[in-house]
Amino acid sequence: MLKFLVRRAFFIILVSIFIVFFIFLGMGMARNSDLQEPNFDLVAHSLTAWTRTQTFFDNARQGEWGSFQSDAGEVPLTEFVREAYVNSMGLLLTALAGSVIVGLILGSAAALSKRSSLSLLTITVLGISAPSFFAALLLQQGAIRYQDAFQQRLVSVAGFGWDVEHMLLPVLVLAARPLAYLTRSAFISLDHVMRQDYIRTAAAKGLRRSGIVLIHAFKNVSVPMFTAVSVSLRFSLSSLPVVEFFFAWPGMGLRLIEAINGRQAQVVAALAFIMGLTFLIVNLVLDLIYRLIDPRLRTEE
Amino acid sequence: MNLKHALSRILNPRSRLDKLPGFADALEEGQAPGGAISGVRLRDVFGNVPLMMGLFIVLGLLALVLYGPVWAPQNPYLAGQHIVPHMDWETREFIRPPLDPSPEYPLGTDQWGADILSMLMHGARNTLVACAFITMMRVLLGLTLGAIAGWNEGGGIDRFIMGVIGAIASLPLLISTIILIYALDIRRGLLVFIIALSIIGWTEIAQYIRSEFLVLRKMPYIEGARATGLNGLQIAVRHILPNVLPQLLVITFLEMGAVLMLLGELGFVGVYIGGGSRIDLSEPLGPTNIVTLADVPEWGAMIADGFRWLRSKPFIVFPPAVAFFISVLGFNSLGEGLRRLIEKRMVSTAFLLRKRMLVVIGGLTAAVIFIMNNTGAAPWFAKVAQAYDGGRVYEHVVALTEMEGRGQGQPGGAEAADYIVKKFEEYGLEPGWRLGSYNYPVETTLVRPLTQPELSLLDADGNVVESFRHQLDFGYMIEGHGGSGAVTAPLTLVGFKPGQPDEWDSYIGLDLRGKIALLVRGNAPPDFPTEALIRGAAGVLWVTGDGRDDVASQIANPGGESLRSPTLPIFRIRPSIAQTILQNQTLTQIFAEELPRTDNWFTRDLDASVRMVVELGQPVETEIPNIVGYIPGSDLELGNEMVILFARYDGLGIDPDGTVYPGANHNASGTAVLLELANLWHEQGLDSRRTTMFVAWGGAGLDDDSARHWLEDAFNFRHLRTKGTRANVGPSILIQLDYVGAGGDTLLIHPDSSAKLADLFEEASQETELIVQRRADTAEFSSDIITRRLPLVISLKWAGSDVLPDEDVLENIDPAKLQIFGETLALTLTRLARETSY
Repeated sequence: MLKFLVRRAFFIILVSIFIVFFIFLGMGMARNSDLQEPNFDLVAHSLTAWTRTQTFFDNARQGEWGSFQSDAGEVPLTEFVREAYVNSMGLLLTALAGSVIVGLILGSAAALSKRSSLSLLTITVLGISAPSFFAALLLQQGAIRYQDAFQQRLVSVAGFGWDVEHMLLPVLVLAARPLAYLTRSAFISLDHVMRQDYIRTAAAKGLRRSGIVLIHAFKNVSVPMFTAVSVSLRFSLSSLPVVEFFFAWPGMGLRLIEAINGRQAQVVAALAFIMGLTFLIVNLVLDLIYRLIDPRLRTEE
Repeated sequence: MNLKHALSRILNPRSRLDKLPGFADALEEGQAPGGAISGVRLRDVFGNVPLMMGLFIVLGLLALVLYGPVWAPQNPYLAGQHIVPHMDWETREFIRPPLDPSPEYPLGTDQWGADILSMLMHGARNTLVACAFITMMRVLLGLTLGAIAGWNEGGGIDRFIMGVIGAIASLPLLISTIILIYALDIRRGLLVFIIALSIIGWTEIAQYIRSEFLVLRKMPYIEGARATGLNGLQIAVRHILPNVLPQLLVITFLEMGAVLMLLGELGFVGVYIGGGSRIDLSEPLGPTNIVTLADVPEWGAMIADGFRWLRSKPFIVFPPAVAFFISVLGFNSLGEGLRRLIEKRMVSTAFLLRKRMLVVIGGLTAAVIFIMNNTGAAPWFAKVAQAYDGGRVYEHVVALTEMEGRGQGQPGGAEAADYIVKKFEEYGLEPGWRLGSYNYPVETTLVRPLTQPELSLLDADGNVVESFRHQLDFGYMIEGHGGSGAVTAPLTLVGFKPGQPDEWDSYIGLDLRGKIALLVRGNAPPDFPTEALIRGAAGVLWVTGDGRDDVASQIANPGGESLRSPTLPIFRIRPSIAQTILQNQTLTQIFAEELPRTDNWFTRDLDASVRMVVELGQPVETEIPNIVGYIPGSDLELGNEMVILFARYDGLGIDPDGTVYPGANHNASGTAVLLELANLWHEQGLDSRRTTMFVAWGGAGLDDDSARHWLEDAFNFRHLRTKGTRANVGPSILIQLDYVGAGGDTLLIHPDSSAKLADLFEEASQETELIVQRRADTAEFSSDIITRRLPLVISLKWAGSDVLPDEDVLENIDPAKLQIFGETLALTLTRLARETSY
């Protein structure tokens, strides 16, 4: 166990350095590409990027990244990243939690009911296929049309605020694809499990159906469900910038896009580093939970 | 064989057992070998909703990729941008693009007035082909790296690949893609997208392939294969790949969906293929304001453009968003449907690995390359340029050369002007002069000879030794005291020491009575003929240059005094004629001998006498027609910029003795090319954003000054009806066509031409394989138009085309030259007409 943790910690550090280096290299080259006559000397760019990466981590160890120039004047970077982080995580966690709960319920209900499953699977394909910007467009236009028709504001179509009015649309859009995916995973795995022999055995033993589902089935569903959650996390993380950009939600995604367009390498690196670190740590935690719930993984060592 | 059998055979081909002896009997008895086990039931295929839906959508998209540009009502590369903001007086609304959906534009127009439906149909090709390329790269990368990792499980390579996968997975997907695209320079277009999106996106496929390999390599049959002595690569390709293939097919379709979605999201945040054209809107002292405009029909770019109009005109952004959604849905459901089919029935995909698949893959690749080459604006421009018909140009040249040399003030000139006007009308050009007339007349006074002018060299007895030819060897002048006269007199060379003042008292002692003065241009003061007259000269011969028009008779002298009484004959002659007259001496030799002996001027009596006869008619006030037609630019901004094509249509005309100078290369050819280009624009329906003006200039032998003055006077363009704000319209680009139908193999761009235009023309010439050089070959390159005061100018001619007027005949015109030159110019013009920056 200790060996596993040490190895993973080492990996996380390595990947963090890689992320920051990648960002500095990429941003340096992007700045260079803006020139009329770009110079694609990879070695020179890598060296610069490496120096900047070292400075970045030196500063990170002291817990202070300094400040950068924005339209609003000089902004302390650490504070800026923290604020964006909180804004994003609030949105992301709400969306993920919502979609996990709803998805699990919907998927299980569908799997346990005897009716045909085809329509549900088709709808989930629809949900997975809907690009987040398309969903956002539809919802926003819907809200605007509603407002026009009834002269009454239902929700805010853009902007920031920790309330239902502001959060509803971004959360819905962010949750759409994970919801479809989780519903689908829950359905497929539960459906699969419910056909297994040990479920039939349990039923033959005379256990109540609720008991079978809760004790025998769910325990076996939990492993694929966890995989599904971590996949969903990637889904939402990747569409986070689009959703934030669309709804002008001042989270990490929006800040990243702004910083890339402004070619502020330092800001991009800080935001991407925090985002990557979160993803890595969440994955580590998920792995640990895997080991707890799936005894098969523990036997490796 | 019915449908079911056919389908079953396609999806699950098996050995043709019926070919074996004895098997046919078994078949007859209804025992299709193995049919029950592996035959595909129709219900599985047609009852599979996602599969059917996916197939339907994907086939639809395929049709759109292949035929979209054909079906589209408009061609966004060539049309669009022609909606003038105007007031609709019935509804009292101000109308300007983007326009709302209407019967004419089913989905409305974008902010440039381009039909969104057409943009979508054209965009399918750009977007989906890009997507297919990216997916192909992703699958190839994922397959290779995943297989390598899986085969070397636990080894260094495996751990390294897994580490890279982990690292890439922890990068934020969209953000890192954007950074990579910018890092590799978005302006490079599709290639950058393929690289960036496949570097970031291969990991999931690799992980899947690796896990499959981990399971499969432990299978007994792999061990068996290894035992038979196959090496790793053979086993991987022959035994593992076929087992992975069905799933890989599913993954490929799902990946198409994922890539499309990513392309849409990228478009949404303003990152699309090519990055659009950057336009600098900064004020001279204001902050920099560079906007990027998506002018390529591509779905991502359309979304990026539409996002700006999200609040007021949501209909712009919806069509591409819906297109993305439907395509993603199509690929995802096809993948999902296929997955179900494969799960239910083990569909064999081994046929994908057969040799004949290589042929199919090769064919597909060729098709994709073909499509790629036909994507973007360039092929449409090329298509327009290819429609340029050198044969028709040749017909124009034939017609023009038959008009008695098209002399000014002569019937031939008027006939040519009429011909051009008629063609301009036919080609739908707007009249470029006031009051709806094509004819912009320039008043001038013409002096034509009544009899054939004569210049002969005489021997001591007064017999004619040699006669010279009018217009070819010599020509008369009417400037100053130049005029009629018939004289026979001995010749005296008058030379001057360079740098001496030209004052009346410098010539004290110079006596030219009863003599004809031979002067050398550049050596003699320009006004010396007057002095020669005072000093009693009977006539003057000017030795000029060897250029084609250097000795052309001066039939008009706009802006200067002419035929000042008393007159004397003044002829310009070529250096070669002077040489004939001098016999065994040379001018250089004489000057070398005489100059050291004098401080100022010298005379040397030459051993020759000449006869000069010229009888000029009365000066005639004439209006020389210049034919001006134009196509209004459709763009609000660019419409104010004017591309002017210039060619002279008239020539030396006909001499009193009936000699005709057809001027086939100079300049029936330039005029003919001009006419064909006007026709091309008309025929191809190219919607020119810039205003294009066609000018057949009647001024050969006069001077170019009036042309330049005409161009410089903004007042001359006030009345043009363009879509832009009228006050500003004016010439920005001038293209001069001379000597474009005959000559050497190289086309010359005058070195004083604008470098920007020359670059553009050279770029076009690479496509038509025309050899181009930037140099002048003789001083005579109609360089008067090339002045620094005008905007962008380019002057074009074939090398070595500068022949004497009597050799400039139709027989020398090379239709192939007319073709390649015109095609290159048409290609250049399409870009000048359509592209915002060039």
